[in-house]
Amino acid sequence: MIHWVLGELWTNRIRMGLVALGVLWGTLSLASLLAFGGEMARAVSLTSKNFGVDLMRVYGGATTRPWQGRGPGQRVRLDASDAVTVRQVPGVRDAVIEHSYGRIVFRAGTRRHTGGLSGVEAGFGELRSRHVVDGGRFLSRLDGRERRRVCYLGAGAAAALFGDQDALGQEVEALGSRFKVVGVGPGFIQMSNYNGRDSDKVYVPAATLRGLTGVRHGTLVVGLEDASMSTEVRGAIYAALGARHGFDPADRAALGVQDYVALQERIGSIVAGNRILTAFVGVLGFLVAALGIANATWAHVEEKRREIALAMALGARRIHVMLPPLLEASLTAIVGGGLGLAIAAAVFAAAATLDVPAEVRAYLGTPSVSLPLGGLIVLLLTIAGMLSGWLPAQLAASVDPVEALRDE
Amino acid sequence: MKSETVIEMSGIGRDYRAVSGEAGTLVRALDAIDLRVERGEALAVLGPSGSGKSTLLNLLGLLDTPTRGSYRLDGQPVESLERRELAMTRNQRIGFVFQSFHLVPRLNAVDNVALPLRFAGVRRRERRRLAVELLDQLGLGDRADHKPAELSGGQQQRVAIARAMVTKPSLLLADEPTGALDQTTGASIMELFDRLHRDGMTLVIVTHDEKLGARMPRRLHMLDGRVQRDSLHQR
Repeated sequence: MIHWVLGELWTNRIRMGLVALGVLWGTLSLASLLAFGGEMARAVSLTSKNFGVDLMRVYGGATTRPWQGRGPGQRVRLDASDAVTVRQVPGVRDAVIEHSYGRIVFRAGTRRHTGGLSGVEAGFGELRSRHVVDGGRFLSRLDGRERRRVCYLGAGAAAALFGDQDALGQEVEALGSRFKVVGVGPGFIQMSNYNGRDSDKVYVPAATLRGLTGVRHGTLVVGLEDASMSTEVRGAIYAALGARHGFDPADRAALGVQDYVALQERIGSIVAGNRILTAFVGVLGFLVAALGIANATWAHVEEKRREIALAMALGARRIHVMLPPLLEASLTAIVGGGLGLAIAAAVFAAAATLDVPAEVRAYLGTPSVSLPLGGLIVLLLTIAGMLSGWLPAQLAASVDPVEALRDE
Repeated sequence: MKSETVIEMSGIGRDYRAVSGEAGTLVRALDAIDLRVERGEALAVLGPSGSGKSTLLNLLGLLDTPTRGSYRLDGQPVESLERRELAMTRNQRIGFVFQSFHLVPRLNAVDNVALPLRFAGVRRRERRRLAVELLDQLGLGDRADHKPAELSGGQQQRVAIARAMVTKPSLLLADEPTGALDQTTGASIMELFDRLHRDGMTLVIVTHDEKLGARMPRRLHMLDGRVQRDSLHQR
């Protein structure tokens, strides 16, 4: 039977070859789209986590409503004790104060670097995903409690101050003091920043900064236990801080909230939208390919009505006449698709060895035709092939030998 | 043990619903056909166009089913056969020869002859051996690997006859087997049929050619879907 089908395919090789070429191109495009889509979603998700997961930044504002005898226009300023209050709010994973001291000049020997200085509490490291290169650490509670003069450098700041040298254990001069470097951040891409690039910043213990500069106020960095509870937690934070600072919890302007959960959700929506679009284009591509195969196979069956009728007269059973179009369509789909898949895999494997800028990798990742992706495409191709061959096969089975073999 | 009666038709009729003309009109293509053909008989079905001889051939070859009546092939009633059983019966018991040969153009003579064996599930080597043997017997041994387009009309019809014979059927049905051939080639094909008959093959040949029909021991004349005359009953 395989010989018979291969013989049929051979006689129809140009047409089916062209159809297979179409399937090849469609599969190549689909594999690329799926690989890019999947990898982009993964890369964007990973990169977005470099800023921190399920975060809010809460900063002071000014009241707009009278409350408990106080008129509107009262300034609200947050300090370390507010972080302690917010930590007690249900649904809050952690909350820390961050004093942003602004951009200053840092020195290390003869090298200078201008970047942001932030005083932060130990929990900031986990909340803001401050990764550290091997051998180092982020600022600890003890650093704060003992007001140690230690610092954590962003990768850009470390490079500017120490070049290729290991910054760990070295000293950085700022605010007329020397800070020992206890940790250095690796180079990673962030999708969002505030007050300048985190990579260029130098972080010191909040208590140390307060002691050196007298700064008291700052912004709260709040981590949520569950991103889906962000609205409720936000309301609870307004209530808790409203009670402390004497403002109406319904007065939205009393505090400013930068909701990164919402940003995360927006990014998630964009990524999901991208995947839906990819899937839609993929399904459309398969539909077009399936229609192309069905059309070519149908035409082939139409042309071969007499041969099919003859086969029936000679004792061919239903399976003998239905199997060739089914196999023809499936083989066209699988051969065309298999080649497309192989080319896509080869192109991606070659592309993975290219030296691509980290910024590009951060958003596009390293797309590849994975085993599950390849398996999915092969499965879809087989289904598309079988479906494409089904109607032509039904047509073949419905041939009336009496009619088809009638001599003109 | 095969029955001695190969064909046993009783009260066979075949109606068609007219597609054109007056909608729903019933066309009676065959009516009240009683036919009995014994093993080894050679029968010519004669008649003008539209007399029902091709319809009869299609019923005999199980390509069509009767509207009424009963048909036993080799003693087996065929009305109750499933589609699959009908296909197997066609494959094993009936050989077809067509006016325009109906060879598969992309297959060579051997593969064309071996085609019914393919549907019977015979292995490739055995198929080829049987086909080559038959082509040799029909004087086409040196044309075994030729494609139909490389053969003359007479040779193509011989290949078609070999194909009809390859499963050793009980019944050989031929529809105007010389209709597409010149007189000399047609005569040689008829000689081949004579030889097959002498060897014991049961033959039913449909033709409108009275001269060709006259060569057959038994002749069935048809008109308007009925048997007008059966030479067997006139003896």
